[in-house]
Amino acid sequence: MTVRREPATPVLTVEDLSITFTQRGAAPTRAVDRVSFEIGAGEVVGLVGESGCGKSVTALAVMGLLADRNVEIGGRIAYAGTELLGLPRKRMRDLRGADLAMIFQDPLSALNPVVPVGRQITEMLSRHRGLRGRDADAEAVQLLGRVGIPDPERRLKEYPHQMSGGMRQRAMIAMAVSCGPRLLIADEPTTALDVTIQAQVLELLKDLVETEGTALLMITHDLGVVAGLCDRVNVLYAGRVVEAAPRHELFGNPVHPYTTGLLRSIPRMDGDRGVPLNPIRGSVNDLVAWADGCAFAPRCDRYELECLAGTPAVTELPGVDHEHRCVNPPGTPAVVR
Amino acid sequence: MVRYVVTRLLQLIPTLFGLSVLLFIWVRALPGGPDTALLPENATAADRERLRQDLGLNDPIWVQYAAFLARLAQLDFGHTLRGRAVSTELAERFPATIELAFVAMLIAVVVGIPLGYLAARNRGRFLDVSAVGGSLIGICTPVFFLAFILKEIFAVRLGWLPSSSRLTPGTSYTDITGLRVVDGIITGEFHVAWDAVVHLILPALALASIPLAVVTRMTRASVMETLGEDFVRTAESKGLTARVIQFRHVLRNAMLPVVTAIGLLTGALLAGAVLTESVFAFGGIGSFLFQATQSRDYAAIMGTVLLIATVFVVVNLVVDLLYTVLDPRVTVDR
Ligand SMILES: Nc1ncnc2c1ncn2[C@@H]1O[C@H](COP(=O)(O)OP(=O)(O)OP(=O)(O)O)[C@@H](O)[C@H]1O
Ligand SMILES: [Mg+2]
Repeated sequence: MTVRREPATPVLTVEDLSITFTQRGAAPTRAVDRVSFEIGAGEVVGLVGESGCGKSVTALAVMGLLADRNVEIGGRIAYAGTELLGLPRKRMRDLRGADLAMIFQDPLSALNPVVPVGRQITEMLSRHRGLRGRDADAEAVQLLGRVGIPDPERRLKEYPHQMSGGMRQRAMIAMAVSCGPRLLIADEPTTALDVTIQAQVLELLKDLVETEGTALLMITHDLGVVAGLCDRVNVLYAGRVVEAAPRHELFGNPVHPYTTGLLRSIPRMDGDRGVPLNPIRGSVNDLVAWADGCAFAPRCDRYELECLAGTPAVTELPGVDHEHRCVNPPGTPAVVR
Repeated sequence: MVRYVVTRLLQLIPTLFGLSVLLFIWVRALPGGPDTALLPENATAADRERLRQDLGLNDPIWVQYAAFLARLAQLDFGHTLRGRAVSTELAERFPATIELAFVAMLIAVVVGIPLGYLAARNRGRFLDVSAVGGSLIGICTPVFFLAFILKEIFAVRLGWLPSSSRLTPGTSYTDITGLRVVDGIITGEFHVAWDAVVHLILPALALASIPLAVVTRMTRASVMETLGEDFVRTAESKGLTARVIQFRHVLRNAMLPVVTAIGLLTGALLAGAVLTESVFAFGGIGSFLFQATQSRDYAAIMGTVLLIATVFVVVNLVVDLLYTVLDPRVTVDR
């Protein structure tokens, strides 16, 4: 019988996380600004946003993989109650791979090209589970089989370049789950893959989470992925969470214009091909500093002067688990000027 | 694999052919000639003419070249001006150069790789700055000059190390491979091996300067690039020990371009041997080539340069084969 942890302690707690890059000779850039979220066991939380909004940096901070130099991290990151920020390096190294694991976007560059795939799995088994030689190989074969790689004994000796993209990502997943982590971070795990393979890989992740009760932080810019997988979604814009809600709530009742924009830009199978997708105009570079107002304002259809009156406060929708950072959300009466 | 090796070795033939043509013309275009070197100062024009006739130097150049090729086809490299077979001279001297070049390369690799690696890991700190600065000096300093300085300081002034030759004069030794250190070890004459090592130190250091500098810089650059690779971050994300990450993931990948550079450096090494061996009277093919060039000994020059070219090609073939072992993405069967 397994003893369940107290359900009250989330696997991952991120609270007011701020990450600032301070390069010499350049103004400090705040890549992540007071981001908070939690992930419970067996839960899938999405971190969604356009390129450059701080998704990967957040993930790397959780993993303790940001360089020490030129980075300032504020706020709190806790894994099952253990504070990770300020944890001694050695302890963090023990946690990494064993308790926290990560899957990267491009499995070709994320795997070592000159080390057989099997070895890249077994090195982890020997590090965290003390498995060596035959035992480690057998376990690696088991793992490769489990992620749906055919003929795993043979694949064990292959190098990453000898595998297909989907195969590589499966191997990467096998590696990440090899030591039974309680938190898995997947940073755009399907972006580099073909559409059909994407679905398979997502299915695999979903399976793993359901059977193992792993907490999954799913990083993506694709709301389609979110719809199929996530229990909860955090929409990130320019380093801040602009909207957070359970999946159904978010898809059913999106409030922030950025979220609505993202939803409109999902290609639909049943959609009219004649109607163009409706991407958000402008780019992330059209930016207002959060301190001065809503960073999204320059690209927003509902932009009003008051959007630039300082950082928009968090608004909680009454009666539901749903918060956003929009000053002038749809449904509010037009502002009288 | 075998096919690849054979193909590469066959490619050596046109390479050597082209080189021999160029060289043949070039040495004969040098001012002066073997007659000048051989004849006494007071020789008459008639003496000179007779000698040139004897040496075949008055024939049209293509006739001379045809004769050269005909002899070469029977692996006859001709004779030196002193009348010894060039092949005999080379066979006697080649081991000395191998020994010297090998030790120099060993120094370059054993010191350069760790140094470059540490420099990359300590980017911008004292060690890095001194390694980069030092290697710049190493690359800029002419080997000849460095050899001279080393000899002057450590052999002549301080007397710590011998200043010339491969063994202390009068040492008796058994010649098996021609490599004095190896022979000394094989036969159990360890004092000979040690004496040979002591004699190797200064010339090897001088000769190692450029390869060492290049290997250090290449390793540093390559390690720095590899450290930024995604797979290193993956390795970190797996919580592997620093040792495993550094060796298996960083160094293993960072070594790839360095290995290629080491192959190409053999060229520089052999060129450097010409001067280094001359300074230390080391008696290898380098000093032989130096003397041959001074006395316009055509046959000796041709033989030595062709041998050096062959060594260069073979070393690079070995390096390429080694590369396929180190990098599974590269195969030779294509
Ligand atoms: N090492 C660094 N030094 C300085 N700035 C950085 C560094 N790493 C990231 N940034 C900045 O932080 C911001 C967020 O980057 P991040 O990689 O998290 O984006 P992302 O949301 O993952 O985007 P993508 O979808 O392209 O992966 C970017 O503006 C980036 O320029
Ligand atoms: Mg990213």
